[in-house]
Amino acid sequence: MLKINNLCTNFFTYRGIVKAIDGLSLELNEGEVLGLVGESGCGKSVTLLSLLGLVPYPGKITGGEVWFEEENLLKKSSKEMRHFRGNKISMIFQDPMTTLNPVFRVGEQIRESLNVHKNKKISKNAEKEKVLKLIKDVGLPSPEQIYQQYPHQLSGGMQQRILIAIALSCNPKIILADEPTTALDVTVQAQILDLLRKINNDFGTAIIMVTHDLGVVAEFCHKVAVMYAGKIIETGSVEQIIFNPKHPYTQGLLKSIPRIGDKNSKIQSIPGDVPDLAALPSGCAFYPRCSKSIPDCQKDEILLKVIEKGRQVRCLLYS
Amino acid sequence: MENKLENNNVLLNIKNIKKYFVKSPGFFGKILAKQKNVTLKAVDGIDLQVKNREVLGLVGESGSGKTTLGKMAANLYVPTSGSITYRGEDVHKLSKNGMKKFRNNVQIVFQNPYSSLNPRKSVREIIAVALQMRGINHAIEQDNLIIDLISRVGLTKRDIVKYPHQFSGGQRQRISIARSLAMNPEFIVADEPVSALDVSIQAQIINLMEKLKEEFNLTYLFIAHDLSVINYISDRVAVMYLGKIMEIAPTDELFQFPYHPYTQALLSAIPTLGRKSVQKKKRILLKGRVPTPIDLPPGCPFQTRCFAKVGKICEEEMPPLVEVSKGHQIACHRVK
Repeated sequence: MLKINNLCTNFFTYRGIVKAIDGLSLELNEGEVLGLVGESGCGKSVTLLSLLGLVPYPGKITGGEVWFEEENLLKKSSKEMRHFRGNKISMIFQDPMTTLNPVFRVGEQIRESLNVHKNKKISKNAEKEKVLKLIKDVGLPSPEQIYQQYPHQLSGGMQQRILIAIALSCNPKIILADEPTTALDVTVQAQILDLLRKINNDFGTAIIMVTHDLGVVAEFCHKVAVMYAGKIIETGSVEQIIFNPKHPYTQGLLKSIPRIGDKNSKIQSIPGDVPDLAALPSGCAFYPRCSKSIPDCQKDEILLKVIEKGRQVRCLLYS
Repeated sequence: MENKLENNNVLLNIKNIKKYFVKSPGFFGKILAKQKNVTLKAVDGIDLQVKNREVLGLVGESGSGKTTLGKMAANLYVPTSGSITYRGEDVHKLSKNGMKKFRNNVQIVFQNPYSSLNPRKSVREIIAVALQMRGINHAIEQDNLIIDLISRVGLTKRDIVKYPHQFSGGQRQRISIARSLAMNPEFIVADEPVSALDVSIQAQIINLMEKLKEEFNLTYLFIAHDLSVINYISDRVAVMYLGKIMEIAPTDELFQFPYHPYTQALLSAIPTLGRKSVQKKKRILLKGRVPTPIDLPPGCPFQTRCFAKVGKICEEEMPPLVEVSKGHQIACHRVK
């Protein structure tokens, strides 16, 4: 349903060109939940923003194609993209308090989304009914009351549900979720993930979930793509990635997470720090921190190789 | 301060501690809008003991009061009522010398590595200030100690002339830890020390803190909201909710046999990397709104979301902490 080919997004900064995304290719099928995993600076949020043409200055998409419904979204004009954003492909951002407009009632904000994308005349009342139904669908009680509230009157979990209601308002085919639960408490996170799972089950909406929390990925996603320094370094089903990770970085990530019930295993950290994207070394970006590296890793660019159906790794160990 | 530990090897003894923040509506609010003072009960009556050389994990979600409690333990907030004794002496009745010794013994590491270091001072200067507090003023002696500390936290000699902005979050946290160690403490309040860090860096800092605990014979009050981290590093865990302790037990015991409904819900909400199959475990989903610490209803703070309410008593009386098995206490009316 969504096919990304060789996406490249650069940031033209005073320190040099930062290759935030460097040749990213992904596929998303109908009804699938794809987890895009990585630590800060790996490019996962920029990927979502690139899909919708929302990359902020000084960033610019410099190459690639994004195929959706037989059209290349990257070739669309700003005006044409408005037809897709919020309508066919919606986005949920990380911090609901900064995403919602503080001076408008939340009901009005959901309604705005319906208003902008309507293609036929609906009466004002019908619109309001739709909004109330959406508020109910996202699990909020007393829709009439909630409609009248301002964002600051709602808790973090409720605000996030409003964002989800806005994202759902036009029955999108895909929801892009950028760390939607990171700013929330763990009990509220469970509720929000439950809601998203219900949406995926009931409406068949595909979801790309950007997160750094492998636990969330394990419970929620079907497929996973792991990113490092602007590139995808491994893909697979969630079982494959969690129980049989191939890339040393993925293996390192999984070993560094403390797991309850596994008291005797020590967590092993990955030495070093995430690389500076403005000054990437040649060859593999993970080389300086990799315990399984060989000298060849530093030489040429390493390509993403398909090792089985739906399974890819970017590592010389598998070439 | 005498080297006296209380019964059962207790280093820090917190008794019925309360911290209320009162917000005044200001002149116009009071006179024109007839608004009243608003009281935020951040910590509302807590008894807690931290034993020598243990890691006591303090866990809770936002608004639970855990940071406020941690700051009171480090004497950064004055309690509204109740007492905190360290090695048997009341922390708020210390003489000037006594307070100096207290500050040597008790240090704090903060959550945000970006705001807890002075951006205008080099690493050397940041740590040297701490050494001066200890009376070490000689430059060469300072240098030797600073280099020793900095290498123990995994940084190098060349790093001491650098400024905070030249380091990553994880490295800054290491500097914060080195700074707190410079005072040669025995007790460290770690307030969410790894929450702001990436997963792979979290592991580095957790391992570092474990190593330093052995090397320096430290005691930690480890505050976090991430239960996996708490489970990994703590000997005992106290679960807080809206200013009160709901359950306290040795770590393995708490995670295997949580008695309090809130703890059960909290544990079931953690997304896990399952064993052989990625099972969708039965999840307790809490309904109802989280009340704010302002204008709390009387009775148990968890009553509005509790799935195991006993009856009217939950709305009227705060349940006391009662021991249900060795070292395991809960505050719940179900215990009878």
